Amino acid sequence: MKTASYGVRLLTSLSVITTLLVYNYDFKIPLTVLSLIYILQYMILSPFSKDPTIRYFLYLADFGFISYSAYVTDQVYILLFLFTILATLREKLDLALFLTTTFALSGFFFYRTGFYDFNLIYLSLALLVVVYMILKEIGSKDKTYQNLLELTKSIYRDNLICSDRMDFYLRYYEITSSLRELKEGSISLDSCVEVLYENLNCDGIFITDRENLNTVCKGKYSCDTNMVNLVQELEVEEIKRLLSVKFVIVREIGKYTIVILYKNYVLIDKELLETMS
Amino acid sequence: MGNIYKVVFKDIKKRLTTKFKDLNFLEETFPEGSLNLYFDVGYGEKFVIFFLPIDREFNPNLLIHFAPLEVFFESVRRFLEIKPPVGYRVRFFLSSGGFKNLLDHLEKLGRYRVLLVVNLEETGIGNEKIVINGLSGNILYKIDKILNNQGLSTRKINIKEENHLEDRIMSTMQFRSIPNKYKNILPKDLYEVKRRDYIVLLIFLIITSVFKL
Repeated sequence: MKTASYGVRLLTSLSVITTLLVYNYDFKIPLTVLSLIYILQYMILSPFSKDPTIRYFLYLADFGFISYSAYVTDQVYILLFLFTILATLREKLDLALFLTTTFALSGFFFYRTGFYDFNLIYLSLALLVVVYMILKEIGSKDKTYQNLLELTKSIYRDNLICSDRMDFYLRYYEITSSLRELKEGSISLDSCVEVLYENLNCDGIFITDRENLNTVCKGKYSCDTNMVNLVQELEVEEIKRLLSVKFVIVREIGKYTIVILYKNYVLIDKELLETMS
Repeated sequence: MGNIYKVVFKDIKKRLTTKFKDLNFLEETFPEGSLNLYFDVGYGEKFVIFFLPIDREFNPNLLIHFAPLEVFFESVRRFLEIKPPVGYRVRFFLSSGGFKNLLDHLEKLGRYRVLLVVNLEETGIGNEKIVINGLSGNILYKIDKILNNQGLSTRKINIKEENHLEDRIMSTMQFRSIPNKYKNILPKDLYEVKRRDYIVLLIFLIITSVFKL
């Protein structure tokens, strides 16, 4: 859009200069200088066009320059450049202001030439249609972009939820499968305790084989004989007191007893623990 | 583009000063070129620090860098307009030197004066998990209650990834987006105001209820 607005202004001043050269008017040099000043001021001020005062000053300069050169050279067609500038505008208020002023000016010049240049009407109407088409195109593109963006956002939201659930089911699968294999006797106690410790995010875990009286453990707490005895006799209160843990969860699966320790924190991971009962 | 953070710092300063006129910015420059920018809200001896690193890889067109900045602005607004901190200060700390600069700054400030460091990296991009380090069980219980009141379930996870501040004894709270496979390439268009407001509400609730007088 920036290059388009530059190009339109450059074309305007160039065509004014050409008109001056071709038709050989009076005050040729001052008018040429004026067109150069016009394009220069646009180049200097347009980077600050976010500021409304500067923007409206630029529009005023456009109107002033184009209508003055049309007046001086008597070439009413120069006014058509106002319509091309119109196509480069984006804001609605600017468009409305620009459109009314353009029509007022064209009407005035049309009156001034004694309603002679009928072609001006057709040309301006055609240009107006082009402007309308361009704006409509831009608008529809914006709309499709917005729709796509909304879709992408909702997909992203769903993706986040899904990845959370996926994480849960992955752990769920790991735990249930390892427990099943333990029951069947196809994996050792050590590897099972490894998997459970990884997936339950607990502070410590003990698994006891009640038949062989064999206990394995994993976590922050050591597996000494005193501890093993307590775990095998399932003295929960004593374990809590000795290890200063707040939550002790006991599950019995086949001939195995699993003791899970959580220290100092409220645990709401019920879904996973329920799968173990 | 080596010193993009200078431009970003300037923008941040401009955006903050247009809205809040009497913020007192303090700057620290280091010989190797890194820069700290910070300002305080409230009065008191103890500090709660909001930390946001802005390094050379900072790209405002990526969600992972854009969203934390918005969270930062919103938290400044909340502490200035809604409820100023009482009994402690909130220091908003931006640094181009990363955690090293923060740790140096904390050393200068006095470690005992810091109540909590809130790390805003990765905040506001969705699927955040609160990562808490060095807070006592009592406070954890309070935080847990707040989160449950907001309808969020909590569970404890031992994160085995590297934690930047773990080696020092420090209370930190950060928000990590886990699991989020594509977080490093997501564009800024996926940013949502609703998500930002929710996470800022959580941070605000946690800080104001844990450190109230």
